[in-house]
Amino acid sequence: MSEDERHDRSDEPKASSVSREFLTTSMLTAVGTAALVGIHHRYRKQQHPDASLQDYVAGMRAQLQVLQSGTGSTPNLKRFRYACQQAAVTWQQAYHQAIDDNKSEILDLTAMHTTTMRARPVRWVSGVASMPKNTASLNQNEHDFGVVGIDADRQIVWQTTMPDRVHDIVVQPVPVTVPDTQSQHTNAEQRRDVVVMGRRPSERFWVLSTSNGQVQHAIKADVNRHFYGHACYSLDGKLLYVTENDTVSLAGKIGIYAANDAYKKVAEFDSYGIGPHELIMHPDSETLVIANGGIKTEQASREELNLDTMRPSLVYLNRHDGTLLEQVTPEHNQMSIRHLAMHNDGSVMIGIQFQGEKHINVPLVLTHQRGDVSFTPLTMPKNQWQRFHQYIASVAVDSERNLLCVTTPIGGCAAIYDLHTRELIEDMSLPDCAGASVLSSASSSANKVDDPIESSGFIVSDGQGQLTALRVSVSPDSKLNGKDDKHISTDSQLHRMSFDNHLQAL
Amino acid sequence: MKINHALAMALSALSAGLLISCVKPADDNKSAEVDSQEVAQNNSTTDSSTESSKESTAQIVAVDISPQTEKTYLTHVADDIVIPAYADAAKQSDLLNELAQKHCQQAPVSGAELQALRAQWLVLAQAWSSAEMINFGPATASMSNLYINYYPDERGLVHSGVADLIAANPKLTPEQLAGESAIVQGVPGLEEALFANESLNAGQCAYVISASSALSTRLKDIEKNWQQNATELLAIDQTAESDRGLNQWINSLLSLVETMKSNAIDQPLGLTGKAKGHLPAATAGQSRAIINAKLDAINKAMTDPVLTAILNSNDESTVANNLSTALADTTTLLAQMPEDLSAANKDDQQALYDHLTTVTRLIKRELIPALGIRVGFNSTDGD
Repeated sequence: MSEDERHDRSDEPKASSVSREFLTTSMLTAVGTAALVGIHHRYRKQQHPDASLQDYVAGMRAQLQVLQSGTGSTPNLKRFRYACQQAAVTWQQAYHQAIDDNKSEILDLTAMHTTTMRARPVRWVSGVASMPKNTASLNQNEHDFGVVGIDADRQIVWQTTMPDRVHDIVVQPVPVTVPDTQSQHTNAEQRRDVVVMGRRPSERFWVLSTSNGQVQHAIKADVNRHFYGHACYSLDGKLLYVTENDTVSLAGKIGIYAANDAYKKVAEFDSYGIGPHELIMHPDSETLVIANGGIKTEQASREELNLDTMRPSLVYLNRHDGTLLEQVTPEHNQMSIRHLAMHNDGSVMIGIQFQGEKHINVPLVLTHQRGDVSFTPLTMPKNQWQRFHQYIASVAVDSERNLLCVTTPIGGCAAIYDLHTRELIEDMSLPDCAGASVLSSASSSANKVDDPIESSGFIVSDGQGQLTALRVSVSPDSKLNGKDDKHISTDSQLHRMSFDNHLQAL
Repeated sequence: MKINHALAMALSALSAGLLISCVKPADDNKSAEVDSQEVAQNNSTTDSSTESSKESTAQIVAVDISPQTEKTYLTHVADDIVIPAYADAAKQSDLLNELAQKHCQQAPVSGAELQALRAQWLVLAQAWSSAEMINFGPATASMSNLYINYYPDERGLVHSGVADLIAANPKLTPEQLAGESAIVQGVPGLEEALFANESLNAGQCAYVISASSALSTRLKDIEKNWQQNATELLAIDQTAESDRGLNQWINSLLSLVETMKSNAIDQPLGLTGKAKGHLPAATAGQSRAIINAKLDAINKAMTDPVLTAILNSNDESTVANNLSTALADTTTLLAQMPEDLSAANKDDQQALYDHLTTVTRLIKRELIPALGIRVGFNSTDGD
């Protein structure tokens, strides 16, 4: 027997052993996979009675098709990373429910929302009036509302479906430490929430994670209360203030919710007016500023009941005890004060929606500072406020550069003001535009403007699916001549969705 | 623990994780059913063609429209739909002006001469109703369309405004009128002067001549603006990178149907809530003619051969056929109703509203997905 033959014979039992081990491992893997999927399916079935085991095969096939249709390896790696994240989130949810089945709120959340995401940092969060149709899950519901996280390149990072149309998007100003309720141990985690308000009048608001869009809480309005579309955090991020309506007396209320106690309602103040809409926190961190729109709205029809007698006002409240500090009314009683933005110097930027006769020309963009007896309008060329079609949807302020952006979907334009001069720099045609927020100078595409000395601006969303960057710059020539002529350039990213009224920067 | 046990656990977790992460959302299993139930509940009067269209919704596949095809279509929209619509309205205003100058040489004007003026006003009002399908561009910038059609006039401002203006200035010129408030101008002002009086005196004649002349000037300005700026207004030169023009045009047509349904039918007739506002051409008692003109404009735009060819390029004619059928059904129903829609019975009024709901749904659920564009959020109902 040669050396080689002896060696081969000695390898035979080893090969047979390896085959046996491989078979055993494969069988154990199959059994383990089936067991894990079976457990997942059991919990899934509790939430979705229509769920079937075929969904796993169908979903896998759809993902493979997506992978095959993709180009390059980087997107595939991102999808794999995304799949792993989704797996982790899914198990986290399943585990959470297993140990805490009596919390029906959590069961509702997973049944009502579907979240998909990419692993990218989020820069803005926006409401969506019409979500894109996923090729793998052709959901043809007419009311496919949602929320999306957007990155610095204006691409969608995550998207979460919502059962109702949403309105304000409120980002927690700083991350807060909260007990990790999903762990059996007494851990704590750093979390930054985004609150998504239902469209006025609504019975719910939702709390999502800014990083991945997962719904953490769905908060229902108290008996005889409706939410009125907007909210704001205290500057430390610990309390959430929400505009509400007393459905019996129709008096405006401000509900206060504890962010670190699962958004439990802890107090309530009067708003000192009817129809409170947007509210913001003063930089002194002690004062709430509230836009009382003045309109009584019937819930079912959204019909305005008191247009002739409405009495809008801007109210300053002590945020700790609800004491009324100051109240200012506009020159015309049908100038409904709806949207606000806060300048770092304490000036309140105000967007008006005029409810009077269509041909009456009233100022639609105002400012106010504590102590002023009246509002001060910004200026409009030839005093032509009808450019905005009596309707301002959002106001956003860049305090560092003293710029203000207002949007009007009905007027089909976004306008930027220079707050130094209080004059309009320019208005840009943007059909159906509404959401507005600051465009950080750190944006990766901010250097596309031709040789700007100073480049800054805003991001504006619209119902046609565009996220448009409006960049304000001062040309070098203008600067050298001692002038300060600003001009605005735009560039848009198109998405297959209709963005809703508001978006908010992180 | 043996190594193969550990390996099996790891592989099990990985494969199960992958399967679970990819699982198809369970909601999809019932979405089509839920949707069809919702439609059935909300629209009990839908006919069989609509039922079949609902079933076909799930199979809507966006047509692949090349930038050149889109550019060709948008150019066609500008040249053959939009500009002619404004040109026709301007022409009808000119004709009213000429007729008024002719008949007003000897005031008072009454009888057949007044009837001729009223008939021409109706042609003008219908021409403008067609042009209202374009809800963007120079006609709506800075609310200038209010100077052409102040509607709805919920407080009756036009009635008192026109009477007061004529009384204060019986020799009104077009230039003087152009500087007045929107409530005394355009189609409603002319309707007030022509239909609220049994005969026209010299002051009323001067008003009709001035108002038709001022209106004609406005309409020609809009037409000229479109001729000069159609490329920009419809983003015709941007079809390679954006579908903005197509999106805006189709959403504009959708907006006309929704606004007509809400402001011109539902609210004045109090179909879904408390009555509010008034029917179009209420003083003339010609609401049917105005609604008909709008429907006709929608019909022509939706069944336009170039658009139909785009929709049929997938060998799929269902979308165009469904829309055409729904619009024809609505027009047939409207033809059977009285000139003044407020005199129609409630069932017919409700049926008209329901038919327009069907048209709206078809545009939103079939036409817009088929064109690969998006329904804008309803900006008139925001906050």
